Amino acid sequence: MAERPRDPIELLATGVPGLDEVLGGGLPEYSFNLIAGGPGAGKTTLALQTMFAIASAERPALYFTLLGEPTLKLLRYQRQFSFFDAARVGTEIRFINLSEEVLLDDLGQVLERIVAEVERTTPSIVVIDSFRTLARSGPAASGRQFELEQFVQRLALHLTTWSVTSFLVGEYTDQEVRNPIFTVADGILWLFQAVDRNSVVRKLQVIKMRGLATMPGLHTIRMTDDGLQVFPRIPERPKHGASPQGERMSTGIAGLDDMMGGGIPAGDSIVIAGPTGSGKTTFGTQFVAEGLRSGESAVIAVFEEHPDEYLRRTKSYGVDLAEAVRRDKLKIIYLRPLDLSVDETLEEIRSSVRRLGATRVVIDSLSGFEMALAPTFREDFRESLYRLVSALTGVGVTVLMTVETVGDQGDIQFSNYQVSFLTDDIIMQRYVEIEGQLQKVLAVVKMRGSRHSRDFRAYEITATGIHLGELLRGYDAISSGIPKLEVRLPEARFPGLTRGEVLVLEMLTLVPDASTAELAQRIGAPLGELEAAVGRLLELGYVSRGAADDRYRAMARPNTS
Amino acid sequence: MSSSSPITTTAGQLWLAEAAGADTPEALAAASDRLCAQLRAGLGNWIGGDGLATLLQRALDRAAPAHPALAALTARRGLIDGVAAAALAHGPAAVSAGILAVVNSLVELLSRLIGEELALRLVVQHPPRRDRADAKGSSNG
Repeated sequence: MAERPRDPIELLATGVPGLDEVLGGGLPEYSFNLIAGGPGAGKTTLALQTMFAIASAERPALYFTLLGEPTLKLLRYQRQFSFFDAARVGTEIRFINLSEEVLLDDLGQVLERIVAEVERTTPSIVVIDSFRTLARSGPAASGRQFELEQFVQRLALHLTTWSVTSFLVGEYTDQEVRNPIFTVADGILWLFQAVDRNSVVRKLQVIKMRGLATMPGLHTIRMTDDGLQVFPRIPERPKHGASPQGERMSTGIAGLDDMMGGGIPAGDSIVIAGPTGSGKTTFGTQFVAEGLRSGESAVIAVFEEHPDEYLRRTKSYGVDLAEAVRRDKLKIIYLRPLDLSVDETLEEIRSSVRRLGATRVVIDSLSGFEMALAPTFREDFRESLYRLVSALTGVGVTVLMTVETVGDQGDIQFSNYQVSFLTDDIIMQRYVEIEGQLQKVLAVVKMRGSRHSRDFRAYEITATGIHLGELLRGYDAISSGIPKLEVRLPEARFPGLTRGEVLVLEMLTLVPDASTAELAQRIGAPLGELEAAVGRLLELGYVSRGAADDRYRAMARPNTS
Repeated sequence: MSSSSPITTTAGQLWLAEAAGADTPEALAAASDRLCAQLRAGLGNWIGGDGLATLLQRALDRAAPAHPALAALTARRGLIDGVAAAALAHGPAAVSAGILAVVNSLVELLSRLIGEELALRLVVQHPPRRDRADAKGSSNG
């Protein structure tokens, strides 16, 4: 049987950035809605902003004020917002004060007046603010709850049959969800305001919206000169998996791509974890610069350094990111205020990625990001970050994040972020002491679903960036920071050689062109024994003379397998 | 404030629309009632009867020092009482000038609160047809 085509409900754009996305597309036309929340949460602003977005000359908006906020005060403050167009007031936007009817304590008269005004104006949208006034000063307060319920039912019926989209605005608490109005309403938007130490946090939740798949959870809202803005919680996206073409993104660091099996798999998230000063930011910069060289676009979110300073410093690496910023190939997002919410920060990153079509994102650093957040949001940090990373990698963007490691433990400490949960790939950096000198080493700790080198490799940061050095073969306990040169004795591979001779041979592999004196010192054996061992290795062809007569080097080994 | 500012122009138009030719105490009192009813039906609809009454009282208080003819007038529930008696004592022209100053002050106060553009829009709003009829009916003159 052929399915009958559905007659879709028209959705109205609310004019509140981010709200339509949270609502599941917009506000259903002719819906009867409640905006609830405590004082100062932004209820009136939300209603007015929506009114200005929906009202037209043919279908104006009616704003009924009851006893809540005097209209003069409402107009005084709301006109500060950019959406408040005074030229439309009186024609498209009309205010009607019902305080006298409310003071008469006669809901019949209140309804009669609303009906009269609506019939006369045929508005597209009606707001009644503050509806809560009726419950406090009217029948409910004097025990006539049934009368209030009847009033709500009749009002909802009238507004719906007039083809009007409506909002009742009121202060309610969580304990009042049994109020009949919550049952009758098609949509309920709940606004919260929480003060945590010195930061104020506003959030919005769509408790219900009939006929729409709304975005669940609490969404951060911010009040600016333009009114309210909602920052939707970024929905988690299923990971797309590795790039179908197996595409790899070059890190921009010679040698590191080889360690990673050809580079970072496109669409992966990668963490560079290391102690302070280990060059994490430089890694990020080179990663972005490499992308720009390949014609890609990128976004960098910095939290610990002003962009000007960041750009100035990267110039010394021979990378002119400022030019890329000018050409709109690179966006540097600098977020420092201490009352940031995760969602608005993430939205800033997400919208920049969309606008530039960026394929590379650097977040430098997670520690700085967390510090920039209002205390309330720090609780949600890991979860929100996970959603951001999922959203970006889900569309093929490669995300590089830096994390400052703490402590000096032998095991790898990645602070509080549970990095392995967040990322596909991990590169660890650390300082090690080798022969009395502090050196930087790195290792590819993890690459999800990809082969990679397990070697530790020394690196240096020079004026031109990061340069990988030699492999640290032969050392144990590198991750402890104090590696030990441990020579393994693969005796079976050298039949006929003594333990001591194998040891000398391995040492010459690690330290080519060494003298017997140096070998004796490194191995800790008497010089006479060393000279005898070297003599026999020379005789057997394992060792040849080096640059000088008293220096030796290991030869290509005879096939002993 | 310039004598030709939008506020004074609007205030003058509002008052003259009702008071033109009102040269007797009774006619002036009726014009005052019509003006108040007009404001109540238009502006009062937006800011509430109490809001308008408060605003009118404040405007009268501000204008009175410069207009001795207003000294005996009072604003009560959005109406100005004592206009006819004041016109008998001071002459209709002095009271008319005083009421014009009250309207001017009211618009100015409103402008300070909600901005001039919005204030002017609200005071010149034509009241709904039904309310206009009510307003005419409530006038005593």
